Amino acid sequence: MTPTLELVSVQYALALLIGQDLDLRTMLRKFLPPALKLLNCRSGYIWMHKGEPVSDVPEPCYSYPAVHGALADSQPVLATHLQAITNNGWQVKKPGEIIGTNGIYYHFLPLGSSGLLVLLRDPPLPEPHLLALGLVLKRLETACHACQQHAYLEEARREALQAKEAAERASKAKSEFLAMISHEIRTPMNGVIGLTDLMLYSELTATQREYLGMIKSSSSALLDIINEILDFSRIEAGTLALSPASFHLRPLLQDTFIPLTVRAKEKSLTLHWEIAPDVPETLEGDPGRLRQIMINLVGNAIKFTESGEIAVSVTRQSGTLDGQMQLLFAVRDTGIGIPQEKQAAIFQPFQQADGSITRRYGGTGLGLTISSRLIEMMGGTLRLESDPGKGSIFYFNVPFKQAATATISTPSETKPHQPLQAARPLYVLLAEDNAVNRMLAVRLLNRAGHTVSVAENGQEALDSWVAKRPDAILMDMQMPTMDGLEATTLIRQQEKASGLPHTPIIALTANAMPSDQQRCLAAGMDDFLSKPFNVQDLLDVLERSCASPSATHDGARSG
Amino acid sequence: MNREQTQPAIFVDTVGTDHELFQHIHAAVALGAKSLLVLACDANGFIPAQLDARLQALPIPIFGGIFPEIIANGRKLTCGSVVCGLPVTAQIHLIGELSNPEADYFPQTEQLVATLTPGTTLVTLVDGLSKRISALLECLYEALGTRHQYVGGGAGSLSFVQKPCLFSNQGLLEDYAQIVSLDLPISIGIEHGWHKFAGPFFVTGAYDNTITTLDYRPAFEVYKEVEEADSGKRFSDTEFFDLAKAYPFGLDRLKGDVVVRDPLFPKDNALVCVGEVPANHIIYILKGEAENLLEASRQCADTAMWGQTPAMLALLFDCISRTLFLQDRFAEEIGNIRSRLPDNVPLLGALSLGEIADAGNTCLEFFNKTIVLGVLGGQQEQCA
Repeated sequence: MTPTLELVSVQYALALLIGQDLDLRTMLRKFLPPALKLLNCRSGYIWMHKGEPVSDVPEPCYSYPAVHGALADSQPVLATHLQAITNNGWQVKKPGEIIGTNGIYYHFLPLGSSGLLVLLRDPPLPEPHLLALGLVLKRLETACHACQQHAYLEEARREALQAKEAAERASKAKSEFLAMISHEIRTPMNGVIGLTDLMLYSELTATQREYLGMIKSSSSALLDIINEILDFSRIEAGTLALSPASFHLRPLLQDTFIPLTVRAKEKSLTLHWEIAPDVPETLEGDPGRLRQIMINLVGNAIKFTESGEIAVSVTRQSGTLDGQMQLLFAVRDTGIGIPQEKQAAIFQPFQQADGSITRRYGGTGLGLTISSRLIEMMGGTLRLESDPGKGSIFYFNVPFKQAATATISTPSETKPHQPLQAARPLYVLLAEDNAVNRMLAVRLLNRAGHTVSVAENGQEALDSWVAKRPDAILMDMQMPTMDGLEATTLIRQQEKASGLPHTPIIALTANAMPSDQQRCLAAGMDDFLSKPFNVQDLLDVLERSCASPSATHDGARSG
Repeated sequence: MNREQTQPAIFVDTVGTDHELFQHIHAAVALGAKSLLVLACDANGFIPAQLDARLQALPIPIFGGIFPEIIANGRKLTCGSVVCGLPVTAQIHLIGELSNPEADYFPQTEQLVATLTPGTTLVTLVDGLSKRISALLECLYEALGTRHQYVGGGAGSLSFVQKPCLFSNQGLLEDYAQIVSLDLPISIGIEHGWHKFAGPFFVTGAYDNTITTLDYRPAFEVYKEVEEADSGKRFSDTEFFDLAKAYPFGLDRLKGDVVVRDPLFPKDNALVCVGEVPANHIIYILKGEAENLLEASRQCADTAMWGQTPAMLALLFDCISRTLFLQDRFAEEIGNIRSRLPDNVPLLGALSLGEIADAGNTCLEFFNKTIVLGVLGGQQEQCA
């Protein structure tokens, strides 16, 4: 082979050994050993540097063979010369400087301006080969930089990912904390609202009735806030799930808008709504959450509108998927409107368009966030068009299935405040560890005409059930000594073992999660009522449970 | 051999039965050998079921291999075994999965740094038909570097069917490497005598021990053109190895020699070699003359004997393809080496599938078609 061809072939082979990996060590490991064999060298050492002097002899970032221990111990000659080079800011006397000692020739070859390769060879490499190597080693420097940059980016990406995960964990912990605190607040709120209800049924002076009315409306406002926080916490923690059911859309919206019409009228506003004729009567979806969204959007419209009207429309959209239809819900107002630059922010939690809004109008700033997320869970998107000073339109598309006609749930009718009288007097066992709630439930039930026996924990409830079986049991979930779930399980086991009739058991709990409801039903409970509850709901659930075929009243007091 | 014995005890069996083999092994143990080197011929037909239980029961370390042919006391054997009881305790390390394309051997070789005494000789035996021998040797040298000297070769069968071929206290092993540390000094000679004949060619496609393309053409096509034109013979009517044994490849090394690669057989127009061929390297087709090869054997012995006094044992790894090429004149090769050794120094060896050695001024390499002669000196402590 001619010397020229030999030079070119060496450059070719070496160049193709460079940059085979983005990890620096792996890349150098794929380069240096075959390069050393090709060049007939004994060993090779590579350093990367920033040109600054270093006090100690630096260890190579890669060498073949590996250096065990300090370089000064295994390669004292190399270490001495290297120290001189590093003291000189990593400058070699000339590219390809060769130092020969004891039949070993140390070739000091710069990798551009930020690295150094030392080759050990006997005999030394000829000058043309050193020059040919120089070009290749510049490419090696670039490859080393690419690896270092890649490692830096990977590290930054890893750190960012860790920070994101930590933030998500913290956010989830915060949401769980909020959910827990909200639950804790609901328990005493049950006492406040219930006792206020109870007092409103008693003989009062006009002033007392007015004050109690204010307490009740304040409590309800507080409960709304807590419910919003709880909903938001569940959404953030990923524990909120929709409860699909079949429902009648028109009665649902009518029922929703009637109380809102009253509020609108108080501000001299007009609220009117229109549901297009081609919108089906019965749909499959979560009616409770749809109602919550509409209350929020229409409630906001009323809150932020000083004069004019609020109009709601529901229309059917074309281009629907198989078995599904898109309904467009739109809420238009003639209120203050939202500036363009603040429109994106209002869907974020704890944000209102302007800090002064909070001071002027109140609210948690969570309502739109919750509505937006609920709509997303339903498969739609909440959007906004607004003209400051003229008004806003909030609208969203949601896919619904048309429901079969069977098992349609209807919204509970708004019953009048009176008469608070049970259709049929029952003997009720109440298991509740909270003294205030216990007293409240006893008073409400007594007032409705029921007889009540109380237990402060699951064990007492079990004993009481054994001693004298009631028509129904109202069972708190969380109680000391024995909780409601365990007590229910034991009661059901004894019923089965002894062939006893079924005693209806209704869970009473401030744990408002769907999973709690499932746990109650799995333990053998018949129904579920979350606190705080209103009196009528309590009476209704008792009546419902005791009227069901599984409930047996005959001989229930045979002990 | 007794406790003071510092010379190896050698037992030769020319029958090639397992019975004879173990008779000699037990004799060496009884004489006080501290470890055993066993070289056996492939023609013996040893299989694990015959040997494993008895190998596992041995009280001292055993290493060695089954080779196409062996050298015992300067004689070439095509059948039989030689047992060498060594006066030093061998420290044996095994590394498996020598054909696994995913294996990284460095963690295992790095562990040897802590266990091996620097300065010892590493007799390195491999299953010669494994696919990643060079990768293992690269990792071995990366971890241990110049702290040791290396000598060895590839065991296996000339049928090119991979099978258990390494003796160990675990039994006969396949697809393994055996790193044997002996606390004895060594002087090494490495020569081959082949010269560049055709080329250069660029290895444009290669993986493991297979060359797929040369100059972007199918490797076998290029090789066939060159060789058939020179030899006047055709691969279509001649056994591949009968032709190929005279035309090995040579990996070019800058301003130095070539490292020989022996083509074993064609596979889908690619060529499978003994040992890896790196892609993007310059390669030549080599040719040899008997005189050059024999001269190489003389130089090899001279180099190995240089400075090694007193010599205790000469260990030869001579490529099997050299005997196929030299045929009757191979006896001259052995004679050249034998004549340069002192009379009292026994010559044992294997006609191997690839040779392993550290030339002293380059990195550890896996060679083909090469003579590697290691002359072991007396035990280091006793010399001191």
